[in-house]
Amino acid sequence: MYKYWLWIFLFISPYPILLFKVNDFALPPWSEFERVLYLSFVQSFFSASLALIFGFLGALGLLSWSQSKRFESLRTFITLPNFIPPLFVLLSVINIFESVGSFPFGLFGVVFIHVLLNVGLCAVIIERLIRENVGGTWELAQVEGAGLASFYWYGIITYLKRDLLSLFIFVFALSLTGFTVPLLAGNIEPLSLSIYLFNKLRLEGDWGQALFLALFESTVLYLFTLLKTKPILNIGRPLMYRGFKGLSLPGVAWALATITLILLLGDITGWVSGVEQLFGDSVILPRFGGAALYTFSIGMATGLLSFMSFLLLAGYFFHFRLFRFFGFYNSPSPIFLGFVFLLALPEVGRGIQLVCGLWLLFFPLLFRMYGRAFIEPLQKQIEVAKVHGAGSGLILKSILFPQMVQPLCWLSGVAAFWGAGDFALSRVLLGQDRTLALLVETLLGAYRLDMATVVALAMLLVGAVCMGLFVGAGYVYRKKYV
Amino acid sequence: MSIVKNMFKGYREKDFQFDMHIEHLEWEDSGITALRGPSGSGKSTFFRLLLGLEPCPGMEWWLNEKNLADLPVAQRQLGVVFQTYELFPHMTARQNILFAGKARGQNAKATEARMLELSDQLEIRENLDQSAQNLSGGQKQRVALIRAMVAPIQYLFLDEPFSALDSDLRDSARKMVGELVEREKIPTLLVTHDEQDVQALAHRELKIENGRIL
Repeated sequence: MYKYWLWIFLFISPYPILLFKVNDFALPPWSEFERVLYLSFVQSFFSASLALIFGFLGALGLLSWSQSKRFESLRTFITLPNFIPPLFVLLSVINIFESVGSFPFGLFGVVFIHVLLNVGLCAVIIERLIRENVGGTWELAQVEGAGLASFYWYGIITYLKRDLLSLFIFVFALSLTGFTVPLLAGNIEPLSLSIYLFNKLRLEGDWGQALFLALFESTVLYLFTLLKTKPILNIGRPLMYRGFKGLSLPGVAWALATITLILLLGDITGWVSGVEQLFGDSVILPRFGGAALYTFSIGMATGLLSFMSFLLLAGYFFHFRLFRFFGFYNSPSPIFLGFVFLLALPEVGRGIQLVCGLWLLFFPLLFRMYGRAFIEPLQKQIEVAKVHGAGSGLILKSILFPQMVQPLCWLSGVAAFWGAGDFALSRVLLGQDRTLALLVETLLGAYRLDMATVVALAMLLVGAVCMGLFVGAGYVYRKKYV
Repeated sequence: MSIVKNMFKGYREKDFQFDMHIEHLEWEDSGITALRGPSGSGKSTFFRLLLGLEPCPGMEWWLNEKNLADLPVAQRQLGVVFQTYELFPHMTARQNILFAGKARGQNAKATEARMLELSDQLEIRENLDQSAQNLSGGQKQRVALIRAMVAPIQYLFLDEPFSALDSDLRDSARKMVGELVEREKIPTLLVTHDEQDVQALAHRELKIENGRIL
């Protein structure tokens, strides 16, 4: 009956593992720590505030698309920068900047990329909040003579302040613990807690200080969780309320879509020369092949693990308390998780560590986003089957598998896509150039931008192949057997 | 006689508190016994505890000289029709019914014969190959009933079986269920909040309020 505790224990286990090592703690020098805290908080504050401000404007733009379902795919499109590996977006932005001048590495660059990564997602979430909560009050306000500005302030911002605060905290926490962007777009000073932790761990080899920082980072994250008044990213059926004429800003939505397109295409002119350079480089090309294969394996293994765990959760471990748990659970930062793996399981193969770590990072998010939508309705059917005498095997074969296989393959495909594009956890656990993402870092460090872009494209492609295999398998199974 | 002992179950939530407290309860195990009470009175909890869908340490449910509470859900040999029928949507009506026979390890031919017999009685035979999703409310109810009774069971549980039907269908549905239970001689627990269900079908009534049988 209390099997769901196993899951909760599994997801919180990294924290007690660190606490057991409490004797090894060492405090970092205060002046250094103070500076990192200041820079990290400034970076995260501006990243979150600007993403929210532009996201709000974007949401007003998206309201003009509420008129038609044709825009649903465009709405998904503008969230892509948040969905694809940040490494790809970062490379695109650097490429675009380099073609007209130079990229402003440092605090400004990091904030700029964080905003680009998160603005589309914020816009979609805020638009959804407005559609669901504000609804007909805009028409009522017009009838009663309220002005546009006062409605924006009192009708939307003041009314949605708890949700907006939760969204701010979400983006703030992402930026505070971010790794890929601050590492590659930052300057010499650490611009996030994760970078500082990584430096202590990998560059200075000071495990005592790293231990303190890992725990500090988690404590900060959990303090934020206490402030977060509402769980976000619960995807359900949106309310299609359409009376937003006069409130929406149609041009902003198209601007957001254009920016997203530019981000995804990057500097196209560099692609051809990048391919030529890659195939002409006898040192990088063999590394590229090995890294592509390894990246593919990591993606597929992450997807498979997600598939199995969703199936197990739906069939054997489901409990409503898990929804509550995952609703407020923050995954630890990848650097923290990598550190825990290095501490607790030094003998276990790094590939296995990486796959397990990626699963711990992605599963709660996927569960929160889509879990309730397709796992919950199955529970009543499982109860009926049990009462009628069905055992676990029959329930799995006849009830769960046929109904879950297609959505589950989608979710596992997403996990595989993210797994193939991981940079942060791989950077802690693996050696140089082992995956395509790590190879991109090497090429970026050598300032071979065109080749790095092509490798990053290959990384996306490998992720897409992994995802396609899962989605295709789900489709074939459903077509053939259900 | 059906005897329930030590049914104690508590729920504590932030703004909700409920205690089921039934020390000893006996009722005749034949015909239809109605369990009636307002919403939040504990009907569903009582129902789920007997089915074994919620744990209740120390509880006993004696039926035919066996304590069913000691058995896992799948071995209690019970049939159930939930308020929303809960047909498996990816199956046809026939597959839904045959599933129950397979789950109980019943011979496939015997299940098929029994299914046809019951579907004739409930006039649903021509809909057997229809997808469960495309059945009407009344058809779903009949398929759920056949599924519950296609294999031998000791007790049938009906959870507000008429509340999802249109009011003009309810009378005929009550009549159909009453006749079926009478014919099959399966002791039945009918959970309802509707006085008309009790008057039309029940041989006896248990009233529940605040987790206590009155």
